[in-house]
Amino acid sequence: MSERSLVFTVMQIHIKQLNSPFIWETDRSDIWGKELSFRSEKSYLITAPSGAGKSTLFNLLCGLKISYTGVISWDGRPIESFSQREVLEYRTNRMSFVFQELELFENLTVQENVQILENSSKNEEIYQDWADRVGIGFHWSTTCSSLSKGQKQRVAILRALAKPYSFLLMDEPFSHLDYETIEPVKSLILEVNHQKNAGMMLFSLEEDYGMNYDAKFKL
Amino acid sequence: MMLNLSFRSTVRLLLAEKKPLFFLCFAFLGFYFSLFILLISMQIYVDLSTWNRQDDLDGESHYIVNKTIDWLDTFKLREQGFQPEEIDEISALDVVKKAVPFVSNDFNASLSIGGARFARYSVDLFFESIDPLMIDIPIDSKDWNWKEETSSFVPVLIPYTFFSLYNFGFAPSRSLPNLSENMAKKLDLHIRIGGRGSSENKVGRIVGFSKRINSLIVPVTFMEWANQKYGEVGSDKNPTRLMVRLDRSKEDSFFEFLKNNSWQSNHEGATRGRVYSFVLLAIFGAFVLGVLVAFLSSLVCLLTIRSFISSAGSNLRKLSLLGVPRARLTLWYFQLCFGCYGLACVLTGISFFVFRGRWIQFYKNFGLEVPFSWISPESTWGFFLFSLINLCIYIYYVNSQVKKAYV
Repeated sequence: MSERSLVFTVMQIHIKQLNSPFIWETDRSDIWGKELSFRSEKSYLITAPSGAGKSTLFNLLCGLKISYTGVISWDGRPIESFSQREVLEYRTNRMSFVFQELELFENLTVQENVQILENSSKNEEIYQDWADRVGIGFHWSTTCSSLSKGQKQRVAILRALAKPYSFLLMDEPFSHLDYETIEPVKSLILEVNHQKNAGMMLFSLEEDYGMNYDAKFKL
Repeated sequence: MMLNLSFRSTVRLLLAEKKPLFFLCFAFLGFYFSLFILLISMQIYVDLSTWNRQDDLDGESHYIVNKTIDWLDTFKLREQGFQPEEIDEISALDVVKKAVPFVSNDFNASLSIGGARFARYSVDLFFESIDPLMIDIPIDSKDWNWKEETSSFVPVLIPYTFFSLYNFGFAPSRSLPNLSENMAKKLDLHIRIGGRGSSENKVGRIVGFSKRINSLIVPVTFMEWANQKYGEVGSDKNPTRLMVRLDRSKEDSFFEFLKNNSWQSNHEGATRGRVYSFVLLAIFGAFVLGVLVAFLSSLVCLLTIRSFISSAGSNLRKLSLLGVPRARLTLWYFQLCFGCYGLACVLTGISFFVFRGRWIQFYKNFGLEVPFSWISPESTWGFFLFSLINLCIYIYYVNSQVKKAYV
């Protein structure tokens, strides 16, 4: 691993009285309207049925411009007070995401997608090894547009793991993977998180995927 | 490198058009044509304006005036020359700054040219002299102050049209060599003057080519000497031609005066001035059109850039989610834009100089001297100013478009 990706910094995401106009049912939620802190040394699972606002919460925690009420803080500072440059700095070095929509660059190859933010190609062998472990090594030089949804999901996970981060946020990352495929992906995520001393927040339907969480929340 | 991608992949990512090269070429051609059209229009306009200013120095114009010839003159029943009071009348006109009569020869004169290397040609002719202040080209006062005792040759000023006629008419028809201005000035002209039963030979030398005067001009001192020695005794002719210097802004009143007196001038000069003004107006129109086309081309480039950025909007949004700073992406678009613009500038420069070379030759064929050998300062500044405005607009536009795509 590169020296840069091993830098350890604790990050805290804090929410208080959080709500969104897109959310209707909040009474039985562990999160909406509550005050909670998520620390980057820990692992969290947030489960909810479809349409309960997982992606809304995910996007809010990512700092995307969605209307909401309440407070979201990164490291003690409300995100409204962050400049765009500071938000981008967090997204570059402190947080990493696997979006439900994946947000891959369809015209680029798997390798280009995974290494797009690298300053050099010196870690290519490591990433290729990761790709082999999760079963997409054969497609390393294939453009993403020709991959299946499950393969794309794994590319998105590799891209998220390849960049520096303290907190990994994943929105239904295994939704198109079968149990056999999930295992090596899970083990890779845990391994890289351990190497980076990073925390994780997994948003899922009902599954917990057996990843030893420090806390579980129902949305 | 902005992203860990090859240039090709970066183009695919940030231009995201199906045919990015086609659109890049389109933008490049837009830049090129806008710059080329603007530069050409400006330079033609500057050339013509400069000539107009040169021709119209201090708002003055010069014409040669004579009386109209009709059947009475054929039978010598009327005086062709100007009476002193007529000259005074002309001089007194508000529009006339100066009126000077030509002095013509009363002796016989012939001129021959050629000798050892060229076939010898001889022709009878007449000379005139006039106040040197009315002559349109600089002449060496030492040569022009001809004295019988000291001058080794008679300086002769010939009309530029004669010189052109020789080179483009007479010489080709007789298989004679063409002459440059410098070479013509080195030729000896054998002038034979005579009258009253005697004659003598003089060596003449061309000292200049006039575009204003349409006859052979010799110094006043030579004319006085020769008329006195060989001219008809008792001949006291009035001058038949006058040169007038007019205030250009009022010259129409002068032509009205000539018309009322049934006199003539080399009015084609005035017509030429009007044609010139018309051409200038047309060129100004072309210049305005050129500027308009240039701005429209710039607008096309702007729309092409917009098309690039909006088609790459989804990729820009994804890059913002990954934390790629906006400045890095903006910089890439700037580099692409400036690269295209720079290349278009270089190509414009090359095309301009190639075109200018042929164009200068075209001017020379019309006997026009090019005021600027390559490019005028006005055109250079105009070009830079236009480029600067364009680039500032592109910087602002690219920046705002990328900002819009960011989340």
